[in-house]
Amino acid sequence: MTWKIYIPDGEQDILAEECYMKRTMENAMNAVFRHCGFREIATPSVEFFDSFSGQRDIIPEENMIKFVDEQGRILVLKPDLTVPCARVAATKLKDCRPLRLCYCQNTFRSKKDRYLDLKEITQAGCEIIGIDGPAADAEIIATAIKTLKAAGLTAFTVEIGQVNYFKGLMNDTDLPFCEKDRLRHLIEKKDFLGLEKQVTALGIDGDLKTALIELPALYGGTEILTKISGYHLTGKAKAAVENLVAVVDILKKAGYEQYLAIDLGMVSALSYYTGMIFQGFVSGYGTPILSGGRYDHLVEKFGAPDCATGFSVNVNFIMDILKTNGIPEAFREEDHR
Amino acid sequence: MKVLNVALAKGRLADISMEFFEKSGIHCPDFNDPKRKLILTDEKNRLRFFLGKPSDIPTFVEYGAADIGIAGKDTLLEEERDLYEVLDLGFGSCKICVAGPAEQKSTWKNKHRKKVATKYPHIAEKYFREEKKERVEIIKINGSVELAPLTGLADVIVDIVESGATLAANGLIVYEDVIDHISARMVVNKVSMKTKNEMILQLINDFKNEVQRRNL
Repeated sequence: MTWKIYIPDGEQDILAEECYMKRTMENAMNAVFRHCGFREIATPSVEFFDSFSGQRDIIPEENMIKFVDEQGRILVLKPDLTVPCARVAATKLKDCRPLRLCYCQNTFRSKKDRYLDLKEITQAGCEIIGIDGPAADAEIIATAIKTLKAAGLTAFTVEIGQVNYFKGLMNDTDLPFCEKDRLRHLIEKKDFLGLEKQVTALGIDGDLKTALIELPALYGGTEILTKISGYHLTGKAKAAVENLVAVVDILKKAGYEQYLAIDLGMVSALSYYTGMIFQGFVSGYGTPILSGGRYDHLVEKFGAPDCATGFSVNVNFIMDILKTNGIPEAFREEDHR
Repeated sequence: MKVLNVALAKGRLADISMEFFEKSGIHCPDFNDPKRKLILTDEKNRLRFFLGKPSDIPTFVEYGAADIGIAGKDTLLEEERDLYEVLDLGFGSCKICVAGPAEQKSTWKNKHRKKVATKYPHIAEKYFREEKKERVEIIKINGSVELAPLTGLADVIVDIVESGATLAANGLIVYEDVIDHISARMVVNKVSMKTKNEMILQLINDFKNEVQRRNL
């Protein structure tokens, strides 16, 4: 058997029409990044495994394509672009704060993504390093919305959550980690009845019981925030809601309300994200096309603790949507229109 | 008006699911038509039903081809799809167990590198790795799993057990439980949950009431 006319599993050739669409779309997104004050960097395709290890929530070890260099060190094909940004921000650019970086490069995983069956995915995204607070979070979300518009999408929703709401509610209990994680899983799966049973079985009652059981249903328009602002909350959970209210307020004033939705039941990747989180989706497409949030503990891994917030867009997913819904004129080759 | 696409597992699960839809005021006269088309719509054309193989239901829903689905917990555990699993409907109740020949119950544990035949290779591998801390040889079988230990193909099986009658008829007994509560679940595509929110929440609510009514 000779393999020379085939390409490996999870890879693809992108032919002229699509390639033109991809390139022009990437340029349009990049123009938005630049316009919003982000400067592009390019990081290597091959990095040390050590840079990406310990981020189980977002990049499980077994999903990285690894090999060994001549000195026996483990290398990976980069599975993600935020981690290299954090590394550069904490090392070569440690004296530049605040820092606004953007990128558009390919990432590699050893497992194919379930949607397009690809191991190699192009991601475009932005990171703000060194600014805490709702203004930076709102800036990142606004940039994400502008990016999706520039990519030719019209009907999309950006859904915002806050991991500290759940973390705060959990602080009020003395449950062991495994029980907290079980509750998290039930909320994440929106298993309404299962959650209610489990909360009751754990002997949680009063306001906390009500708040937990309601959590998977706390999604919808921004009016959800008005509702929970009226709750009697303390500490971390209270701060989480205040943060979200402030972020949404800034975005509303900037005229983005039509794109916004809220979901406080988004409770995945809790050890990676430290505040506001968000996802972008298009009706009729079964998986998010964009994800992001605040991650204040990643940069410190590279020796210079600092807060950070960012997002990345899955370029291949957007191409898939445009191919189905119609490629915008601007992304079509003139002589082949 | 948006149409809600519903994936149902052909067979008994679909029959009982349809009772739940009836309670929710959704009538689908074509469902009882013996010709059994694979796509059916309700009278008011608000819902479109797809009848698929049980193990394919989570796939239809994850990819958004269907907005919601009703599938057994066994297939959800085997497929591990990225979905909202909103409701335990209670019916189709059974367990997943390790079973084998009655006379080997006391000795099978000492066997090195056990051979396990199953329709659920993922569940079986995960159970032995995570709970028993051992690697086993998994042999994927598509039906009549009980044959495997009887013919020497495997030492034990990992399979669904309802009454235990099929096991008993073949001289097999349950060695241990892998998952003690399997039943039908309502699953929802993560994006549809938001974009067809009202229709889906209404269904979840109606189904929840019906579950509670049946449990009384």
